[in-house]
Amino acid sequence: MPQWRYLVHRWEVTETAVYTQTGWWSRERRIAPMSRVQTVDHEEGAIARLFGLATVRVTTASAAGALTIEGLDQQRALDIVAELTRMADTVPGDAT
Amino acid sequence: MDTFDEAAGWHRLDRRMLLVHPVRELIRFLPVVAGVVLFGRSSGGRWALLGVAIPIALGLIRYLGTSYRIKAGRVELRRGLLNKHVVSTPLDRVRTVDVTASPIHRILGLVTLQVGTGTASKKGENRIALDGVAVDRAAELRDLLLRGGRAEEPADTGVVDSSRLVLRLDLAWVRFAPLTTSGLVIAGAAIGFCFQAAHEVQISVSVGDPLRGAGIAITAAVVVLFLLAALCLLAVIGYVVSNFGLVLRHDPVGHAWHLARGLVTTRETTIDDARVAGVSIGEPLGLRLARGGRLSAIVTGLDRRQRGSSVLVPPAPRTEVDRVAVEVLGVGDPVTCPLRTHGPRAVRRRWTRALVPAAALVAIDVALASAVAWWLLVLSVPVLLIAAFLAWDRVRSLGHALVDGHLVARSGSLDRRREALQTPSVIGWNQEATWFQRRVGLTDLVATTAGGRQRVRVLDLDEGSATALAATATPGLLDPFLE
Repeated sequence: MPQWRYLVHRWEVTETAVYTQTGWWSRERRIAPMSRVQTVDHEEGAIARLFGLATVRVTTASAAGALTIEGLDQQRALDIVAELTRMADTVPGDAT
Repeated sequence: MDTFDEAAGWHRLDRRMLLVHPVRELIRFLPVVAGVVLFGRSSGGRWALLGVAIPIALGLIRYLGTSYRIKAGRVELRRGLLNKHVVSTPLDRVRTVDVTASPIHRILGLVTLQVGTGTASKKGENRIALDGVAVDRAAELRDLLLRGGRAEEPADTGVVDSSRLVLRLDLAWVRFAPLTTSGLVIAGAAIGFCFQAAHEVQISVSVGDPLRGAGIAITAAVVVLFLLAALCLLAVIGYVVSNFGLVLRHDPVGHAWHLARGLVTTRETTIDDARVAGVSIGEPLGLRLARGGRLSAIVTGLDRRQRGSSVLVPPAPRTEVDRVAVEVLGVGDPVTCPLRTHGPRAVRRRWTRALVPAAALVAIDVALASAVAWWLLVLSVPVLLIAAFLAWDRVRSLGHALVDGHLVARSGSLDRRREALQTPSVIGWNQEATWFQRRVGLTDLVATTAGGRQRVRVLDLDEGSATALAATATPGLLDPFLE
């Protein structure tokens, strides 16, 4: 099962958008344009820290639009957060 | 106004609030006051005095502690004498302004002004509500709040009312009140109760004497009819109380929609034009059969918990609803155009989704019938008929379109909705597919937005057209991910 989950989870960050694909039973793909990103969260649960993992959560102004990337390497996660924050900052607009 | 902090632009609430607060505190303290009056007699009048003095003092403290100002592009509200609490919001975040007046406010010529911002916090302490400003002052404040966020200076209209009447409530529309979804649920419950009562009677007829059985049947019928009549009456009263005197106006100068309504407590909502991202036309089954519908706006920054602020037309004739919807959107096609169907696989899915639960019920019924009595099989007939009707109606409802810059989606039967969302307000896409959907190559396409239900769902598209639809609606966004 974990291998399966690993196989179907995908994420991608480009200059203009963030994309995730999750779920091994019900599949969910989410796209948020960079201009609509409101917050970028970095989370580390107790168990995740034990394994040196972290979660990045990207939220938009819509309650239905949050993207979560789970199980990233800690350093990698921090890099992504920094990059996303920089890119979301450079795009103008109040994100709604 | 007094000289208090006037230089810094701070204003107090209207002085007449000094009357409102003690009365309200008195009502809240009524049990205590009653206790003081009842038991205070024996221990002297001093306690009774205290029981009256405390509420008045609290009201005074609240009055002295509350002040507000609109300055430097922000609206700020200060509360509390000992525990200071300041809420501050930039004016360009103001989405709606609600002006309500309870009976006691109306007597004194006061209103409560509530500012709707995009805050997600439900906690009351972060709400900006000016409880108790004079009526004319409230109108001034409202203009200031809604125009403050704009760069251009509004044309000086003075007292001249530039707004245009769009809709006025016709009291004949109360006939739609019992037909909403909640009304339908109630009717369903009543019918279920009927069946059960009939069932009881059947048994009592077989065991007791027939005369008594007939008596019970008549009593049951009378009770059910009475309940139905009472519920209809409640629905009608509710409709009249909240919508009496409803007037919807559009102000082309202030770029805003004004909606005033209410019988006892009046409520006036103002929605900034720029924040209207789309409309949602609700057409639950009951309303649809009576050629009715209702309309609410999808307002950026307002979610469904603040739904009261986004109602535009309460249950009313469909023609009126459509007319207002067209005016709100500025274009007609998203409201009236025929929708594209979703193909045979989506149709099949509607049928299986309605018939599988029905089949389960029928199976239970068959088991029951074989154990008890075969005439119980009759119960399966309405179940299958209802399921078939729901499936047929859902197939008929399902559809989507992309016209005039609006994404239009319609689905459902008992609670059918047609939603039109302007594409610039789409702030992301979700493609959701359960295992069953993936097996037949279908997916739900969800456009996320910052208003209303936060999402517009297009049910059961095939994967190719889902991607194509998203790509056409928001050009460029999906390109990096399409190989």
